[in-house]
Amino acid sequence: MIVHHDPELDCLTLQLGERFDFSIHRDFHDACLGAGKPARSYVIDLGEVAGMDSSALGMLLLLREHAGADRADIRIVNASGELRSTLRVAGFDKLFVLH
Amino acid sequence: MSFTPASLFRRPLAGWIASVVALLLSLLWHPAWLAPLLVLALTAAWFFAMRAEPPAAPVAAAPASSEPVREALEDVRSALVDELGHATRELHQGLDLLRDAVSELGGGFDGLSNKTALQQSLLKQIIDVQDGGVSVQDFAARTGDLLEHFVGMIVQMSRESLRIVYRIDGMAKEMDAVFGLLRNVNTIAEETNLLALNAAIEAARAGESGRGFAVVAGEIRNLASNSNQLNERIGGHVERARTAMEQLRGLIGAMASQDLNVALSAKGGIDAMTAHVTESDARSSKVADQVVEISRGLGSDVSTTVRSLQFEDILRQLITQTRTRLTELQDVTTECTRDIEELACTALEADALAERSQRVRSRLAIQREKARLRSRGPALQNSMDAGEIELF
Repeated sequence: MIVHHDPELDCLTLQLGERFDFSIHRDFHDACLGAGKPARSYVIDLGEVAGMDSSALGMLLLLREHAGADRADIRIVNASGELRSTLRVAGFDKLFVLH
Repeated sequence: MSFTPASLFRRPLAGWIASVVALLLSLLWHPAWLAPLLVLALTAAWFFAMRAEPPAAPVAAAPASSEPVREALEDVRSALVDELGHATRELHQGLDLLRDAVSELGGGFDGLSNKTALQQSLLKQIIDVQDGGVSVQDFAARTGDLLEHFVGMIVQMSRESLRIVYRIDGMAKEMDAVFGLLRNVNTIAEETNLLALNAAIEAARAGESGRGFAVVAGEIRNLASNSNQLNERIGGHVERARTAMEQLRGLIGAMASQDLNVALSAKGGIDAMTAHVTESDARSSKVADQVVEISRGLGSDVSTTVRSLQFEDILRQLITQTRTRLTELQDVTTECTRDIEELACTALEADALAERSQRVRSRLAIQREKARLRSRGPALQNSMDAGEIELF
């Protein structure tokens, strides 16, 4: 997982690896759920993700809570068709901006 | 004696032959004596011809030869009257058959029309049930909702599990801090032990006066050793708690990591089912519409057919009329043949003759007038479309 922070826009970009599941929960926590002020906006790049389980969705929900719930500005980009339908079944198209 | 042209042609055959021969002779042969001779011969021939064949008697005056005519006329009359009687009876029979057949047909078509109406109402019930009840489409939609709810629950559970895992991680950090502190305590205990050892050495060096101090130093060493043992036990407990937490972390992690593919494929199956049901619903509704249309057409056909059965009325009127005509014709035949028979066979005065023939003609004229009036009469219905029957 590659984390990039744009200080000008205060935008945190997370480029995830092949697997987006429980195995990376610690990295994910350290990257964006730790103590401290949340970023203004987040971009989750799922371009390289091949497999995703429910803990990934749980992490995204925790990120949303951390970033201010309804005030959160989180965009999910480059999701494949299968991932997109998973997100849609879980109702994430209403909680996040899917690109 | 009168010479009508007919009698002239018919009777004095010898005279005619003699005239023709004389004409031929005068044409072929031209002696001067021939003309007076021919005149004489012709006169003689005509004279004998007239004498030999007396002129024919007037018809009226010869009743003796009328018997065959009377018989023939009698035959004609009885044949005609019989035939007409047969025809009348057959028409009557036909009328009965027609009435029976039409009543059966009418009953059949009434039954058909009732059944069609029943069919239509049953079909309507089916359609109403389909419209009003829980459709398969609703079922699929509800199952889809349930599935989304289920997926939502799994995701919520994952979120809470992750929250717990992050808490456990925080606790593990605290444990590490406790470990660090315990190491410090260990160091202190070791230093205390060393200090007590030094104090014991100093106490031994002091001799008798240091004996009490040696006891205190021994106690301090014991305390340090006890403290060390306690530290080790605490360390062991903390280590076990860490292991347990690590196990717990693994368990909760497994709980958080649910495969969503099952739910996804189920969702796909439900979508496909919904599409299929929608399509099949549309198709069956179309078919039901068609069936309703056909049923309605059937009803209208039956009503048209039943209306057409009114032809029986018209036909009956026609046949009755024909029967009346036949009966009248029987009378007319009887009367007229009788008159003609008298005309032909009885010796009658010229006035009576004229009167009889006039009677026959006027009888026929009356009959003709009757027929004319009847065909113009209001009783007959000419078209089937005139009536209308409401079946439903």
